[in-house]
Amino acid sequence: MPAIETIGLTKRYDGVTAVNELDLVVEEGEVFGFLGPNGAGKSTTIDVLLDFTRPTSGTVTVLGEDAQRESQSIRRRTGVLPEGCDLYDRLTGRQHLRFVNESKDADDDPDTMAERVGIPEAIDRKVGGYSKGMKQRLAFGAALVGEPELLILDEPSTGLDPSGAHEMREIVQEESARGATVFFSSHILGQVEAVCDRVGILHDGELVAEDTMEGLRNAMDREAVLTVEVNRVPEDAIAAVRALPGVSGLTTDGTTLSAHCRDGAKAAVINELEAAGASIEDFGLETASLEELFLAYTGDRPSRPIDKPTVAAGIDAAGERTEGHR
Amino acid sequence: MSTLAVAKKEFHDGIRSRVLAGLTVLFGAFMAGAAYYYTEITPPAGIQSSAEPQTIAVINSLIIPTYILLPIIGTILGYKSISGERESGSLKFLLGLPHTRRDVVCGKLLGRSGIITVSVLVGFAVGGLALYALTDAFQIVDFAVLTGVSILLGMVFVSIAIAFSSAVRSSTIATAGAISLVLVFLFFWNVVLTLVGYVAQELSLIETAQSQTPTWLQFFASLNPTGAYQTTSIYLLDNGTRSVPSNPPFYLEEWFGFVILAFWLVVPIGLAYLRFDRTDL
Repeated sequence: MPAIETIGLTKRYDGVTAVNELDLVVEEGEVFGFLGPNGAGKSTTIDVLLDFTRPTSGTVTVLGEDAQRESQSIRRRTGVLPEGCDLYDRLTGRQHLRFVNESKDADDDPDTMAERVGIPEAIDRKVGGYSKGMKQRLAFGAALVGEPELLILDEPSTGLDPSGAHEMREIVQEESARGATVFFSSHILGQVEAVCDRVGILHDGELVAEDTMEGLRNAMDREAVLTVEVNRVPEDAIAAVRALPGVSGLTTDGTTLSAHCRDGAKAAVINELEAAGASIEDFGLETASLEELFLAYTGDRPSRPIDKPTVAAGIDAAGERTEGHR
Repeated sequence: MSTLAVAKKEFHDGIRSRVLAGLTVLFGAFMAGAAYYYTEITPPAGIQSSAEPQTIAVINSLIIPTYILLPIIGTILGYKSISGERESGSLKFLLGLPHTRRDVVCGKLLGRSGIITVSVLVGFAVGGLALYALTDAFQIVDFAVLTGVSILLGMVFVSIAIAFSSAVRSSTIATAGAISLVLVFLFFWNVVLTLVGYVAQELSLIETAQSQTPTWLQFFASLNPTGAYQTTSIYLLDNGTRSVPSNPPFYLEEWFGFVILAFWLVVPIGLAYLRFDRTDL
């Protein structure tokens, strides 16, 4: 039984589609990284899992229970860290943890919990005086109360400094080792890279990639970014290059094109550009980092500059050929 | 169970509010002031006569600070209770825990009713001590009854404010709505009645020549919860010294004030809950 399953999940707000026909499966016991740029629909998806928001269509099951009808039971078995959530300024950390204990019928020692998330000295202070990072730590601690079967963490490293984010990942690993399923969202690949078994990449409300970390790394090894500078970008060139087999993404920045492609497709890209009437002025090649792979899937940023000294072996022949055309 | 957990959290959170502390002090001061004013400066008629009506006259005088201040305190306690949490995002923390939205609304009402109870008890303790010191005829039972009805009034306004707060998304609109309603009940109810009467006349529902106000308009007038509070207080404290018009319809009898208070306590928040339960956070 999957820990989380959405089938054809769609959520529209006033005509804007936040999530479109999302099919997502998170298996029991895995750490799943839910990636995507801000506004991709990650929080909306999480809101539906917790019945904060009702879907326009589709079915959603969490821990084998219906997300709408059995939400309370789901939340009894789940630890939730909402995105950038605020807490109660007039209550102390201890009062917060007591309230969570009481709400979840748990009996975790607040001091131990505070120790675990790194705020033992602040536990008897009012949360109004906490820094953003301390609030985030307390909210994270609250999510851990009662050893939940599932942890749903929405951008858990928000407000944390690098060492805080690192501690958070360690706790995620501990929770996973205990047997919990962890589902966490982030817009930064680096946050999930170290801890996730699998990732799903959401873009504009659609799942554009879903793979194991290993699968993504393999894809990374095979993929390279070919950056080409042309005198002009012919109209049909972009669509033609995108349509090539082995090309997974293409971004443009003026007359600079960056194609994410498999090894074998590089020459085809250049041929296609020339066939469309562009003349090649310069080009470079580099293997994609995981981060670039992520960007290739989500296409959120302009391509990197062409002058990076990363020309790889194997392109030289094509390079000479281009020289000849000048 | 879940409702109680939310109620306890609400109570602990809200009771620490400085605004509440300030309002409670103000309330206590008004109560003491009213006790002093009506015993020492301008005692109402009847205060010089026998001991029994004297207490009632004095206690009745305490109704004035109460029915003005408790709606204000109640509204301030409730108007941000849910919309404020929605805006800050803490509502997602609260509902990430295994509480239903009904637990949240009921827990808020219960917890904040507890807070206004404390506030009323403090105010009445101050007023009671002042009365006790200033007059010989302090009647503890009558005083306790008035305290009880006042707590009910406070809860009514807490409930109305929570209703606004859960029904609308924006805490600005919730605030505006709750405050407008308090102003109408406290100061502009007669304007509303005049308007209703005027419209009724225009529509020929009332004959201009009619000397007595029709019963339905009297009923409409009695719907104001602050009015119902005064009616029920007098009803409970009076020992048959008043002259009551004979044989009014049941909905104009004084005990019906409790029904009106119960209506305001339950119906708006019930409707608001139904809306809150259906919306996206």
